[in-house]
Formats: sequence, structure tokens, C-alpha cells
Amino acid sequence: MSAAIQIPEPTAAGRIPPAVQTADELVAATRAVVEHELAPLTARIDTEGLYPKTVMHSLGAAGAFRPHLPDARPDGRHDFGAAIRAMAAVSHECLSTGFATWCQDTCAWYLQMGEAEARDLWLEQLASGRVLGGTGMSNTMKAFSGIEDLRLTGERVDGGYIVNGSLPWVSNLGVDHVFGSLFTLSGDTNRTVMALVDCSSPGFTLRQSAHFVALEGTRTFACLFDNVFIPDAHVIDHDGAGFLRRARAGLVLLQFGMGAGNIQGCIDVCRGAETLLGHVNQFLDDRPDELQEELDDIVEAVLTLAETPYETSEDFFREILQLRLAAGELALRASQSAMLHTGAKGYLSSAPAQRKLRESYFVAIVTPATKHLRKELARIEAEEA
Amino acid sequence: MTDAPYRKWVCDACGYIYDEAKGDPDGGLPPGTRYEDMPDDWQCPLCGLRKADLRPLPDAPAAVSDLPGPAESAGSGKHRSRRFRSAEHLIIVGAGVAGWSVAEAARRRDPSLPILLVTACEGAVYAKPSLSTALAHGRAPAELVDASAEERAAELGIEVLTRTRVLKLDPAKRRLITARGGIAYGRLVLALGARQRRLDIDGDAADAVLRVNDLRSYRDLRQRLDGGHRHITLLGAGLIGCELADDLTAAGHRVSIVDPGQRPLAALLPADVAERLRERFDTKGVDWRLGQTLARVDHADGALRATLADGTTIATDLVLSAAGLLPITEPAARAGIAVQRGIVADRRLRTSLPDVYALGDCAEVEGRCFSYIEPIRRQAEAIAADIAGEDAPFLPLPPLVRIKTPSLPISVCNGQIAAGADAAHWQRVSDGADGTRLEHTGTEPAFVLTGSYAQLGTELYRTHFG
Repeated sequence: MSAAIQIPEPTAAGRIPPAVQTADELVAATRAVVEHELAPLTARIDTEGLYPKTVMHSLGAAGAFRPHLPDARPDGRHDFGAAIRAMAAVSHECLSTGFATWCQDTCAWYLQMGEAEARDLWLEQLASGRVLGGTGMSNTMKAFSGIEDLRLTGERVDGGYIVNGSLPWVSNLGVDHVFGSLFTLSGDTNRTVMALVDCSSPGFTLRQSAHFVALEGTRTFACLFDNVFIPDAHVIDHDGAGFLRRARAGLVLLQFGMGAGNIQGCIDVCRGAETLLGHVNQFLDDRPDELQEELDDIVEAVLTLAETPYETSEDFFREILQLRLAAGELALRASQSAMLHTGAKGYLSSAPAQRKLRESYFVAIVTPATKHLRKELARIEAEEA
Repeated sequence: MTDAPYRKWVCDACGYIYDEAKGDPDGGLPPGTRYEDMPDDWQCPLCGLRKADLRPLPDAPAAVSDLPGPAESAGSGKHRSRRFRSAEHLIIVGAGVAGWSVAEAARRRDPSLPILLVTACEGAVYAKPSLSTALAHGRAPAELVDASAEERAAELGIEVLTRTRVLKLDPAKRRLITARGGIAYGRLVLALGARQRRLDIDGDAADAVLRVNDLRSYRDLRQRLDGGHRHITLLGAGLIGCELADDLTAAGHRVSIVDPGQRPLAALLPADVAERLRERFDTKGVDWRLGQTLARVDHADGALRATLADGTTIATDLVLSAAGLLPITEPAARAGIAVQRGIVADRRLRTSLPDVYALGDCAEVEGRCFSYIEPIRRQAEAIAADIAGEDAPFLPLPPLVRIKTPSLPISVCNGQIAAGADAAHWQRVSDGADGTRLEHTGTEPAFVLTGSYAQLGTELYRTHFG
């Protein structure tokens, strides 16, 4: 692994595209990349674990990672809805790439919400897709819900922190990637720090181990920290808990891009079987029109909540979690339906239906998972009563 | 070699179990390899973490969460998404007096109509006016609840969906969009209520200003009050402000009242009656700051410092805002329903959209909002009647208002006239140490009753309005 930490040059203002894409333009540009570059690779991503690196750079160039980042847009506004729609267009074809898109979007969102120094150094790099990044926050989210302990510990030193510990299963990584994560301070476990980790830092190791039944092409690694130095310039927030409170709504909102894309993909698989099999498929539950109605309602709710990603109230977050739960549950029903609508043809190892079935479980088990969401909602309700 | 029994270890990231008896042959560890003999660079075969990430496998399963599981919780399965497809459904949005009253009235007329009540809050059934008198009566917030949403729904034979805010209304598809998914409606009743007006206040404790308008916020208030005598700064000398001030002082708390007007209840009472209420409050030690507004609230010495517009300060424990109610109309306005101050409704409580009704604090009929219990119940009856095809519209009569200030009980009808009229039009029927009875002689009936006369309100109201 390379020695010195590479800190990029501060963003040149001219790098931000001069004009704002409308959401529709962005979705069209994203679809073009999906059709021409991603679709030919989907099967290999799924079966061989191919990481769609060039596709990711192309999506960045098309603007897919930028709309939710006011400081990466010439108008200084956010359009979370457009980011979610672009991610849905990717996930509709391939959830591995959709998930990599979420990782990228979320890593950039952390920088958007963090200290100016780290933001100036990295935001445009991630928004443009020139640098790819991930988010090692599953452990953090679970820790803040009392499900497990925080796994990274940092010690304050001159000019930064020395971090030790390990994280399992962080995605969209590589030696030239970065990711956002959170560590506790040794000696003061009540204090946490949110920082950007450079995968080329000395003492940092990526390790591939297990293989998954889906989402293989996402470069998912275990991350080992042996005295990794994180400079102050990479600190996203010196108050990690406060940061998570501000960033959590956006983090979960963005995930709807994966859910909506996967569900729409399943519905389209059902519809594709209609011409030949409609006469018998009409006896099935969860017909495509019914699923579509439910998905449309969820998407409308998502786009409404996505208008206020900076809202930090507990009520607002509860609503996001309720909706996130509904999306996970609908994904499972939609993929089940895709299998039943396609029949044995969907059971072929090359069929989209069986791939979408495996992918849909990811929507329901990625943090926050269905059980995690139900626990969190039960906690919120118990606290209110 | 040791004879100690083999132990099991668990990777606390992924749950992989390392059994010393079995070892990890694929990772180069033969059966019988003790934890102590595992190399430090051993990799978990599932997640890639290290030996240091293994923990002894506990003998007992982890403690079960004490949160109610889905099986025991009141609304079993309430965390699950639910689908409502029926275009026959009457959907009621809101679980205040207005929402529950419509459910009751509609169920009374039609035992088989499918009804679903959707509410952003927990939906508990309680008498809202009792929030103004609970302290003096020594009632805890939990004692104010008549029934949980689930209990009342079961009694009425309706469905209920709590903690579900309506994000959007889609009239073209006749659907409500919520965070739990979409809900189709046949007929829709908006009982959205009102919210306390937010005042523009600066200072590092501006977020600590409480607004009490429902059970949840009232609980919050009581948590801060109970167990000691506090000083409360009340913003607003209207109905809620005066009732709360009387209740708070009765419970031994000290109160300052800040209001830009020159007297309490200026919108409801003639000046001399308001003056008498003020005198009664004086004897309870109420500190009046009339003609004043609050500029800022800051943390100071573990309590708060309220600074008024003229620069004077009040050392206080709590700032409570009761600056008036604003109808909640946004979801209706966004859907294109006609909205002025409230959601515009006719005497059948129909809004400008077909099959969509509005009532209570969120609605206005002929330019007026009816925020009191009695007219709200009549509005609910009118909606149920209209749905059932009966011709029994709501009559927008001036409400009889009972001001729950035990220091000086007051009943008033047609407050706007009462507050604005000059003394010449008042007939002072009785006036003595135990109260006042004033009647207005103009074209529209109006009266004010205080003290022992206040209880005559209902009777007098009937003689005027039948």
C-alpha cells in the first residue's frame, strides 16, 4: 500500500458544472449510462463479482452523484429527489451498482454536512465521481441503536487522531478510495468523531473474505486499522453524535433509490411476462398494477420527505423509518411476485427475476434492516407513551 | 496440553463461531486448536476480521429487549405496512375531538360503513379542555386519557392507524400519501386541528419555549413542572393563557404573563369584566407584563432568562407560549382545496373537492373557525348526516364559551360583540359581589356571565338559540 496520504488540491470553482441539470435531464443522462455501459455488465457483476469501476466514473460524469449536494451545484440548492431518482434508474438494472451509487452519494453527503476544510478538499472529487467512496457507518447506526458496540477507537495526537480497530463489510472501496466513518475517543467513550478515511493510509488494510449471494460486485471488504493517522483536515465533525443526528435523515432517504429501483425492476419483470402468461398470471396475488400503485405512493411520500433532508426532529426521522420499512417489505413482495409471474424462466441462472429476488433481500437487510427498523420504531413509540 | 474443556468463541462482527474442538481446518487450524494458540493474523472466514475480534461465546442468549414485541403490543402488527384499497372507506384524518366525533356519528348511522381513522399522534381519547384544569385537580396526564386509540377503535368497530402523518393528498387518484404507504379513500374527512402560533423569539434557549396544544406536549410540560414549585413565563393572555395561569398558580407555581394587549381576554370580554379577572389573578400573585412582547430567551444559571422588548428581564424556569391557534391547512392547500384562514367548508362541511370534508379547528364555515367542543360535535353530526344522505346541515351559531378560570368562572356568548361593544349597549342585569350578568341589547344576542352566574350559561344560551 502506498506510503504518504494524498491530500487533493482544493476544489477549483470552475469544476462545478456551469448549469444545473433538471431532475429529468439527470435521469435521462443516467439512463443512457445504464443502457450503454452498465447493462452489458450486469450478469458479470452479479456472478463474477466484477466491480463496475468505469460505470461509476461515467455515472459521476453524467451528474448522478451531485444533485443532493448544494455545495457541488452552481445554484447552491439541493435536489434530493433527483439523486434518489438517478439511483433508482441504476438500481432498476443492477442493485450492486445501485448500492455503489448509494455509498458514493452518502460519502459525499457526509462531506456536505461536515467541516469546511474536509468539504473543500473532497466534496467535488466525490460529486464528480473522480474519487470513489464508501460509508462505514453500519456499525455506527447499530451502535446508536444499542445493537452493538462501536468498533473504532481514536486517540488525539498532534494534528489529528490515531485510529485502531476493525470494521466488517464496508462497500465501494479500493486502495484509491475513501470512506466516512465514526470512532470513539479512547478515555472518553461518550465522545465520537466523524472522519473521512483514506484507504491508502499507512496501517490501513482492506481484506476480502466472504462471498455473498448477491451484491458481489460492490468491493465489500473488511477494514483493519493499525495505528492509522487521520489528519484534522479529514475530520468531518469533531462531534460525531451531533453529526449523525444532522446527517441521518439524508443517509436513509438516499437508500430509497435502491428500493424504488429494485421494486420497479421487479414490476417490469412481471409486466414483461404478461403477453404470454397473462391468462394464468391473473390468478396470482400482488399483480403488477397493484404493486405499481403501492410503489407510486411510496415514491410520492419519499419525494415529499426528501424536500426537507435537513430536518432533525425525531418525528421526521420516525416517518423516514416507517417509509423505509414499507419499502423493504414491498421489495420482498415484488421480487417474490417477479419469480411467480415468470415461472421456471425466472428460475434460470441467467434470469433477471432470480437476481432481483436475491437483490431484494438486500433492501430489507441492509442497515437499517427490517428488524432494526421495527426495534427503532418500537423504541420511539415507547418513549412517547 | 490442557484437559480444560474446549471453548467456543464468536466473531462479534458477523457471528461466526470458532469452536476449539473443531478448529478451522480451511484456515490452517487443526481440530483442538485453543484460542491461545491461534495466530494473531488469523482471519474470520466469514468477514475477514481478526482473532482480537473474537469474544467468548456466552452461555445464555442475549437478554430479550423489554420493548413490547409485536405479539404483545396493543396493535399487533402495527409496525407492518398495511394496505387499504377500499374505495368505500370513510377515512378520517386526525384523532382530536373532531376526528373521533365523526367516527362516532358515522358509526351510529351506519353499522357497516368501513371507517379508518389515521392520525399523526398516538390517538388517545381525552377531553382536551381538561388540560387547563388538571394541575389544580391533582390529575396526572395519564389520568386524563379515557381510552387508547386501539380501545376506542375496537368499541366503534373501526380501524385506526396511529403515528401516521398524512404527507400529501392526491385527489386525482383519491389517495392519501403517508409514511406507511398509500391509503385509498371513498370519502375523506380532514380533522387536522390547529397548532400554536410560533412567536419570533431570539436567544440560545428559544428552542426551549413550550407550546401546549395536545396530550404529548402537555406531558412534556408536566414532566418539567411536577416535583417542585417553578416560575413560568406565559406568553399570551387569551383563553388558554388565562386558564393555564389560573391552574398553575392554584398548584403553587408562580406565573408572569406577557401579552402585547392592555388586558386579559381582550378578544372575548368587555373591559370591566376583564379588569375584574385581572384583579382576581393579582391576589394569586400573577405578575402582569402587559403591552409587552418577549424578545429573547437564554440559558442562565441552570434556569432561563426571558428578556422583553423593553429590555426588562424575568428570571424563570419555563417559558410557555399560548399565543393563539392557527388552523393546519397545508395538506389541503397543496392538494388544491380552497383555503382562507382555515379550510373552507360549507354548512355540510364539504370542502371545494368532492367527497372531502373538513371540520373543527382546521376548518372555517362562512368565514369563521369553530374551535369549541359543542360546535365541533354538531359539525361531526352534520358530516355523518350528509354521508347518510340526510338533510341536516350545521348551523354556524355563535358558540357558548366557558372560561375555566376557577378564580372567576366566566361564560360568554358572542365574544367579539362582547369585547367590542360600548358600555351603552349593555344591560347590567345583575352585578354584585358574587358575579355579574351582562346582556347585550343589539340585534345579535350576546351575554357575559361571571362568578355564580356563569352556571346559567347553558340555560340562557337555549333561550336565545333554541
